[in-house]
Amino acid sequence: MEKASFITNLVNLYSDELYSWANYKINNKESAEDIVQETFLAAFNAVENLKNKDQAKTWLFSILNNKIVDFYRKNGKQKIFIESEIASEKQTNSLFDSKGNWEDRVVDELWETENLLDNLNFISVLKKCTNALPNRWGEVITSKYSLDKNPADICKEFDISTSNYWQIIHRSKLQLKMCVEKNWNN
Amino acid sequence: MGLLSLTCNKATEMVEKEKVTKITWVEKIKLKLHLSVCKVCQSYKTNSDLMDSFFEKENINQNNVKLTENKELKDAIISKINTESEKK
Repeated sequence: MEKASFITNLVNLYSDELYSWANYKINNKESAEDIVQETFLAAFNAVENLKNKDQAKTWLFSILNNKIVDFYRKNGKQKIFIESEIASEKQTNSLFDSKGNWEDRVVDELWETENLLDNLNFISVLKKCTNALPNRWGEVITSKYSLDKNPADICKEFDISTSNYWQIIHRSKLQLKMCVEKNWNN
Repeated sequence: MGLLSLTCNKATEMVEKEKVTKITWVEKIKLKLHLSVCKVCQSYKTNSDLMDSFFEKENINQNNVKLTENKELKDAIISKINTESEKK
């Protein structure tokens, strides 16, 4: 009974935060709710594993993050990712000639605009282009800039090698460059 | 194709590699040489830094994602936990 009231207390404290995070990562209300519920049930059944009660929030988030990874594995989403990655890779390959040098040696003048990061038009185009990246690439890129993650963590989370990691960043940035140039009309 | 030459594809990839991990001094020299003569790759490097700053600003993690309340979910989980605990 004490166990139940301890977990119930955690639900009251953290379920909104866990749900918001899951919904952001998965982008589906029902699945996010299921996963948060599973997280608390798993916590309930493994409460002995929590050594330090002050770490409860971190502990819950680590259970949740594992469940999010499982969710992506189970749903075979990987397949869809790979397909769109292939399409994106073809696109970025077309930037280079057969020897691997730039096909088009002209630098788009948009990149010479001053203070681009204060330019609302530029920011909105770049945001849209980021959302259009293949899902996994987008996830890798946003993880890269999370303060609490280092490259080793990210490679482990996405089950990729270090060289895969910088190649994904390279491909993503090429894709973003193309996308911004295409959609920019100042 | 000299020993010290890089293609643009490889050079821009190395720009990203250098940001993630240590590169060897040979790679460093190759990259430096390439960037000193290739204005398109120089521009890539500038764009890459610019995108880094953009993503750093936009950075979303589990501590700053927008909070959505979900009362129904909260109640559903609590009643589920209570049922579980009665089973035992």
